[in-house]
Amino acid sequence: MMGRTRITIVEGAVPAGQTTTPTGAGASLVFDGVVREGEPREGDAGAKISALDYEAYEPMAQRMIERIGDELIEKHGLIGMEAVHSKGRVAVGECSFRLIVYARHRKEALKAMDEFIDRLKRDVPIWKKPVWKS
Amino acid sequence: MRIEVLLFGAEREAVGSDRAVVEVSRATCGDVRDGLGRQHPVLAKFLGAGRIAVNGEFAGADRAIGASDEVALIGLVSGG
Repeated sequence: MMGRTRITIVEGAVPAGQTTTPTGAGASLVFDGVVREGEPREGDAGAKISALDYEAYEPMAQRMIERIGDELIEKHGLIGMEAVHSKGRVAVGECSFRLIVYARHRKEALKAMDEFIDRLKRDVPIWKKPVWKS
Repeated sequence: MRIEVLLFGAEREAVGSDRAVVEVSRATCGDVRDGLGRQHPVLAKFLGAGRIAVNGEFAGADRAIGASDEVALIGLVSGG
């Protein structure tokens, strides 16, 4: 049993990875956050980007992700969580964030996934800046 | 007391540096926030949504800051 959150911050896009589902898991839920071409920009609803530049306050970001994950593991009785987040430049179509939730059943995995991402977007010190297409 | 505050994202770009120095007579997070607004007016518009972190933990206005503490202004985050 894992029972803890594993977090890795990588330079550039999150690479495709193989996961090893822990014993006892009936659900291995994977979320890939992908950089999309369209980003809202004031005065230009159709603005397009070529990439996002990510910046992290790394020690705090790692600690916050671990804490959020561990709280959700406890709350939902999960088996474990793995998170990978980018820093630096990530091109359109590439993955900038991956979250894997391991649980005995899908329902708690789905709930935890949604809660984790909401809290990531509220409390984890990571910022992104669009690289606009000229 | 002289306190260096780490800056990131839009706040870093607004100041043009990855840190801002504030001089405060009392050193709490609230004092630092007030000092940032007064001594770096370009940051004033970010302080409503911004939170102060001490040693990598969000901290309330009454949290005292010591000489060895790492202080950061955490603006609106946008990870994921």
